[in-house]
Amino acid sequence: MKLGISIYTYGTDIHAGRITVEDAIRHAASLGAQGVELIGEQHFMTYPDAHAEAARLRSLVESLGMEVACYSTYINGLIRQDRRATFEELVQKAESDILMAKTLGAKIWRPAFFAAPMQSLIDLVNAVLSMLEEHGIIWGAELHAPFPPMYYKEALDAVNSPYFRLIPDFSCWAKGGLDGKYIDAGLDTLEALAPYCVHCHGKSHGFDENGEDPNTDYKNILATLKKMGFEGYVVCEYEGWLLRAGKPSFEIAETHFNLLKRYGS
Amino acid sequence: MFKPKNDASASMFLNLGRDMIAENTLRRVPEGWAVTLRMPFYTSFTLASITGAALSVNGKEVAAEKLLLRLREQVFPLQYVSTIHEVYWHMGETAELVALEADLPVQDVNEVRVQLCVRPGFEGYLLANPDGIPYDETRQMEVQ
Repeated sequence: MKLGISIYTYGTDIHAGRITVEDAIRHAASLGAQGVELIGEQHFMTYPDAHAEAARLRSLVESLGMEVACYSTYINGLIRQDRRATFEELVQKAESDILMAKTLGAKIWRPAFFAAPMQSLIDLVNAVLSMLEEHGIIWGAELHAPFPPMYYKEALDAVNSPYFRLIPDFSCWAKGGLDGKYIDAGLDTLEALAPYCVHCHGKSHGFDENGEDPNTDYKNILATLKKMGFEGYVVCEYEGWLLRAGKPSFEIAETHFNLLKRYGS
Repeated sequence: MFKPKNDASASMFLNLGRDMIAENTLRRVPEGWAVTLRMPFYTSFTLASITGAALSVNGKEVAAEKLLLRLREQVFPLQYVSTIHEVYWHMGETAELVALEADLPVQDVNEVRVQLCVRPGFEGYLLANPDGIPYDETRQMEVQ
């Protein structure tokens, strides 16, 4: 597997304007990350049509010996106050995001989409499937707590394409986790997803004095991914900054990436 | 100003209100008075996501129709941002909340309260925050 860092990890300082996205990318490279994940609605000051900015950031990432491992976005149904987005508007947003992923050179695209009912997701994926195939970009549906590991099985079966796959987030296998809301699923449920996994989010909300995540069994999750023959990226995705200001993000990112290297190298 | 029906204080997104007031200064501007804000949610959002805003200085609330948001040199009356779904306020980016009022009870040091209610565009978040996320921060500000 390959190890990287989602720039989401640096959220506490980017959100507060203390560091730039470029600072975070350079720091990720200094830690030895092979790739980074960028988020459209967090890391681009000209989003959503941010192709010039994307080309510039891709150039920076590649100049540091890394690649854009994944591009994440949100396909929101409630952009307007007067009505929900129409199906055509959702498709338009998806197409715009796919082109941004292409500009970034990302082979994996994670659009967060509220899949209720699941058929709405199936319809949306099918509407852009030919575009995904044309550009060689995989739609990675993020499997995230509190949803169970098999949440997207119906959609995976219905679309039945190598261009629609899964991005498991470690929150699905966290113990207790955020407000105790997470499901403590056994790692056999991760193993069962082997045919579908293309990218993983190494989620954490905090670390103990030994640099371990007390809520998430990184050692056994990463051992399971190795056993599965997983060859994609696992990226650090620290989310504790939503809960507290905490330590500077450079320090957090180093602790988190060291945890990934300890069990994932 | 905001009367959320749910217990929005439980929202983890509320914690990011810590970054909403970008500078502890109340500035005199040609239109009246201004404070510098930073986008408080955890992702960029379009201005149509703002479902309410309020500013008070030393306890005096500025009338809603006298509030403007200045973002990237564009000026938007807060009363009408509900229709602005094409303009994003980006993460880390600052904007000015402007009060079109010259006679606020401004002193050397002022208690300034800013409220901004943001309705996330992602339906899943709305389950926990049906009325939006009511950011509410108060700071002591010197005049500039």
